[in-house]
Amino acid sequence: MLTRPSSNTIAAISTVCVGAFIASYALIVYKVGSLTHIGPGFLPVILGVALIFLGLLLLLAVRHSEEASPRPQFLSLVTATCGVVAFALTVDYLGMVPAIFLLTGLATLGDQRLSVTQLFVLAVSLCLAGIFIFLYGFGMPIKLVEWPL
Amino acid sequence: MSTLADLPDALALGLATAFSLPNLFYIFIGVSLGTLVGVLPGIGSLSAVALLLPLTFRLDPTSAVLMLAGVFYGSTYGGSTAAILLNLPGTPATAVTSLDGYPMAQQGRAAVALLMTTIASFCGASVGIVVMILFSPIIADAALNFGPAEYFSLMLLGLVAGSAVSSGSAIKGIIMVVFGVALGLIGADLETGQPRFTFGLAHLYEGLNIVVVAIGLFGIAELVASSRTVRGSVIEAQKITLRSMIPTRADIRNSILPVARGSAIGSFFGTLPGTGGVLASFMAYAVEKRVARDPSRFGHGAIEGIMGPEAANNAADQTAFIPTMTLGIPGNVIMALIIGALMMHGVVPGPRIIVDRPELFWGLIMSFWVGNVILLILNIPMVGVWVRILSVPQHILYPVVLSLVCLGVYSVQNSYVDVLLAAAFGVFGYVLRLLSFQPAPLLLGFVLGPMIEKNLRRALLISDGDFAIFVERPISLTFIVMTFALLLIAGLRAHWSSRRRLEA
Repeated sequence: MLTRPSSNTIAAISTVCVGAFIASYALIVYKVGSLTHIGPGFLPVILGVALIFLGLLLLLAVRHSEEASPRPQFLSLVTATCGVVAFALTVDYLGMVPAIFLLTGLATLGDQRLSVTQLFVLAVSLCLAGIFIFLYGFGMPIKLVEWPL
Repeated sequence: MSTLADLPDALALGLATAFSLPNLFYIFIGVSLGTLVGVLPGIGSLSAVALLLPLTFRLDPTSAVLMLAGVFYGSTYGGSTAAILLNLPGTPATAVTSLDGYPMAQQGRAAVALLMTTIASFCGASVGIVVMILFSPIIADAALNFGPAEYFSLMLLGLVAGSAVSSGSAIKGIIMVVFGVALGLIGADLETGQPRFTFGLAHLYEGLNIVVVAIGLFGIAELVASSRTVRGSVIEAQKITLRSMIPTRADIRNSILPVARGSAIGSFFGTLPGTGGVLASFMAYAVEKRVARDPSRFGHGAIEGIMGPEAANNAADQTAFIPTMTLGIPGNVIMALIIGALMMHGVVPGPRIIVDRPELFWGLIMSFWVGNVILLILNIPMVGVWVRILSVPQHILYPVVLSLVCLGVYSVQNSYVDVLLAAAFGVFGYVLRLLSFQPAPLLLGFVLGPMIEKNLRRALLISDGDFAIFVERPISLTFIVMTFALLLIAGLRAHWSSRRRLEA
C-alpha cells in the first residue's frame, strides 16, 4: 500500500536532488580548477556533494524521528504571493497607488474578517504612509500613479 | 593597538558619536520601531531587523548600524511585554518570560512584572556592554594575527555552531547552512568574474540581495505562517498605572541575585556563535529554579523566573556584537544580517574595524547605553501604548506588514525584480517551514558563503594546495577541533533523543 511520504522523506529527497543539480551543473559548466588555484566550480561541487551526503543521511534518520509539521496555510500563501507579485508587476507601470491597492486586495482575499470598506480605508492609509515614509522621508523615486496611454 | 590606557579616549569618541543629533534620532527610531515590532507576536527580532533593513540603506554606515542594533535589542524589550501580557512571546528569546510573567499578570501584577523586567533588561544590557568594552579590544588584537586559514576554520565553526547546535534537527540545520552558502555564491565569482548560477539573468550578476532573501524568508514566510493564528485576550482589564508598577520590598530583594546571575549567563552565551538570547534565557531560568529555596513557586508568578531570564537575554543581545564586530563572525543570524548590511555599506567587520573606523565601533557600543536608557524611559510610561497596539487585529496588521515588505524591498535597488525574488523566497521559506527546516541557518550560510570561499582560496594559495594548512596552524587547528566536537555533540544528542523516543 502506498502511503504518503512523510515530510522528512520529501525533505531528504529534495536535498539530494538539489545537491546533485548543483554539483553536476558546476562540474559541467564551470571550471573546477586545481587545489592550488580554486576555480569557480570548486566550492559548488563540494557543496553539492555535501548536500547529497546530508540528504542521504536525513533519509536514514527519517526512520527515527517524526516531527509534527504545522497545518499548511496554502490559501494565505497563494493570496500573499499573488499580492506581492501583483505589486511587483504594476509598481513600475501603474504607479505605487494602484500597486498597493492590488496588493492589499489580493492578499486579503478569502479573509472574511475584513469588510470592503475596511479594505479601502486600509489601502488608502497605506498609500499615504508609503508616500510619507518612502517618498518624502527617503526620497525614493517611485511614481504615484501612471496611466499608460 | 588599543590598550586599556586608550579606553577613556575611545569611550569619549564613542559618546560623541552616539550623542550626535542625527545619530541620537536614529537610535531613538531604531529602538522604538524595534520595540513596536517586538511587541507584535508573529514578527520576531529577525524579521524586525530584516523588515527595517532597507530603511537604513540611505544612511551612512555608522548611523545604519546604530539603528539596526537598536531595532535588535529593542525588539527583545518589546517581546517581553507581549510575553507577560499575552502569554505569546513577541520574540523567541522572551518565551521563558511568559512562564512566570503571564501568571503574574493573571494575579494582577502585570504592571510590576513589566517594570521589573524592564529594569532587569537594562541591568543585563549594562553588564553586557561592560563586557564588550573590556574584551573587544583584546579579542581584536589577538585576531589581527589571523590568516585566511584561521578565518576559514573560524567561519566553519561559526556555521556549524549556528546550525547544528540550535533547535531542531542538526542534519537539517547543516543542510540549510550548506544551501545558504550555495545561494551566497550566486553571481559573479570575484576572482574570475565568471557568473555562477545566474542562468542568464543580468539582474543576478551582482548576486542575490540580502534584503530580498531575508525579507522573503522571514518577513513574508513568517507572516503567512501566522496569518490565521488567533490571539489570546489581552489583559487589558488591568489598569497599568505608574503607581501599580511599584514592586514590593520582597520583589526587589528577591531580584538582585537573579539579575546578577542572569547577566553573567547571558554575557557568556551571547558571545558564543550559535547561541544567544534563547539559550541564555532558558539556562537562566533553569539556574534560578535550581537555586531557589522553593522551586514550586516557578510557573506561578515567581519574580525570579522573569528577572533572571530577562537580564540574560538582554546581556546576550549586547555581547553577541563582540564576535560580530571584532572577528566578523556573526554571533547569531541577526548579527549575520547586520554584517551583511555593513558590507553593503562597504564596511567589513573584523579586527581592523577598531583601528580603521573607531567612531563606528565605539559609537556603536556607546549607543547601546543610549538605546537602553531610551528603552527604559520608553517602556515604563509607554506600556499603555504597547498594550493598545497588541489589540490591533491580526487581519489589519497583515496587509500593513506586507506593504512594508514590498515597499522596503523595492526601495533597495528600485527594482521590481527584487520584489518578485522576495516573493519567491517567501514561498520557499514557507515550504521550508512545512518541511520542518529552520531558515535561519540558511541566512547565516548566505552571508558567510562568499567570505568562506575567499579565505579557502587564499589559504590554499598560500599552502600550495595543501589542505594540511588548516591543521598545522595551531589556532586554525583549535577551531577545527571545536567544529568536530560540536558535530559530535549534535550527533550524540540526536542519537540519544531518538533512542528515548523509541523507548517511550
